[in-house]
Amino acid sequence: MNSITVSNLTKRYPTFSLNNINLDIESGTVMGLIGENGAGKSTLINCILGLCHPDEGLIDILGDPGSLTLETKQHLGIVLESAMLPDYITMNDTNIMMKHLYQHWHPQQFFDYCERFELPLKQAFSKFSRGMKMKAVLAVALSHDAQILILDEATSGLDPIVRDELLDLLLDFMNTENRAILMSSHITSDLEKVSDTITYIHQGKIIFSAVKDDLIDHYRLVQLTPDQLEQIDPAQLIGLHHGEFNIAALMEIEHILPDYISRKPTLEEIMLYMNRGLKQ
Amino acid sequence: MIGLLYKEFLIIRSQSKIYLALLVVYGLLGMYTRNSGFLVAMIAMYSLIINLNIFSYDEKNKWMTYALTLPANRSELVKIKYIFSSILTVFMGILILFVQMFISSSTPFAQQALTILVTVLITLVLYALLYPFIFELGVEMARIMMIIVFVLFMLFFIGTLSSMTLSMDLLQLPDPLILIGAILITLCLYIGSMFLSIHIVSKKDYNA
Repeated sequence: MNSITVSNLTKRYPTFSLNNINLDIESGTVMGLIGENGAGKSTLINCILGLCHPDEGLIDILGDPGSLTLETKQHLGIVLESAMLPDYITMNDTNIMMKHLYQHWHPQQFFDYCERFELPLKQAFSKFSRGMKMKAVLAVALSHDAQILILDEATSGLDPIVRDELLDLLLDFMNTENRAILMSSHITSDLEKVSDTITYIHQGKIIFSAVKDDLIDHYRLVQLTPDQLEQIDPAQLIGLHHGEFNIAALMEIEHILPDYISRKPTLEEIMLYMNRGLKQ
Repeated sequence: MIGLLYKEFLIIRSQSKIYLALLVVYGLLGMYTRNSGFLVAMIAMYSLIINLNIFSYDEKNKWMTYALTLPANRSELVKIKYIFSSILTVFMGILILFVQMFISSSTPFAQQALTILVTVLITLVLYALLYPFIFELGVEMARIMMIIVFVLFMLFFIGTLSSMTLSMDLLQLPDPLILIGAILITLCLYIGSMFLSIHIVSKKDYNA
């Protein structure tokens, strides 16, 4: 069963368009969304959350097609990079506010997260660091029996220790059945740690959406000599990089010859080399 | 909706010391000059400043974007602003009325109450004019409009209305029907403005 289904989604802006996006996020999985700045990751998430109005297409969340209802929002936990709680409220205030908004708000669970994240309860939000603000919003997202977490660049700007903590929490979240996470990030190493599937968006279009392990197993990063490069069909080169001392190329595994020096690429390398290939 | 309304009230807590201090200063000024016009003007001033501060903070933190991810819809988020503004304005009016009664104990209560009522109604009309601009253009872009409207209000009220109402004899208080009419017109403008703001907000994209 799909937690989120996006069908033929199109959103047009004067200088950018999200074009005919089709995406399925299965229950019990974590989907990582990658792409360069301005690719459309946040636009896609904004459309899913009803923050902007798609020009075409349909979004179905937990079997609820069309506009996001209040009932469906009860089951969503959201962490956005730049949209936050107001500066003048405290974590105690947040608890009171959320208690009246969420039917299944768990105050003790919220305060437990505050303690775990070392968030002061009586200090105004304005005095929190960026990492603390992210943790605060995540504490809210995790304290009302959410079935789906949606995170848009939630780990960017955070130090590695805080990022590692957040990723552990996401893995804990997935220990309960029928949950799903959609997470966009520039930090592909974070997505490699937690994601089951990866979707790559480039200039408003989906380039691929695949199981992470299958994706990484499907490609190889190859070190080539100029002679070897001349003998390869250009169509087999997904992306190419002429370095100072060598030539590196991303190729599908079935095109790799025994004498090639190759290794499994990282997610970041797949994205970088595909991006090079798309630009050529 | 209660949770969202609670959030609006929280800003008063964070800035209450400043407002109380100003209230004391203007109150003393009023006592010294035997003119409570400053105090009455504070109904609009305080109410507007607090509400505009909330809008500013909301914009800075992209609160609308975050709030729309919570179990709240766009029309609720607009209604909360109007409900809070009206509660705050009426509360300020009642507070100032009590202070004014203390300062100008010789002025009949009916006249003082009338002055306060008119000021509350004018303040609500100000909101009715301003809020659709704020929802459409944002606080920064609507600032020019706010300054113009507020200056006009201050000139009108301080220069004209305060002298009229304070010098009115008890026998010349307006017909109750006129008062009721003024209240109804204000309510219609206020509610109409709210629906216009809901329409504006329903069409907008709130990108994270």
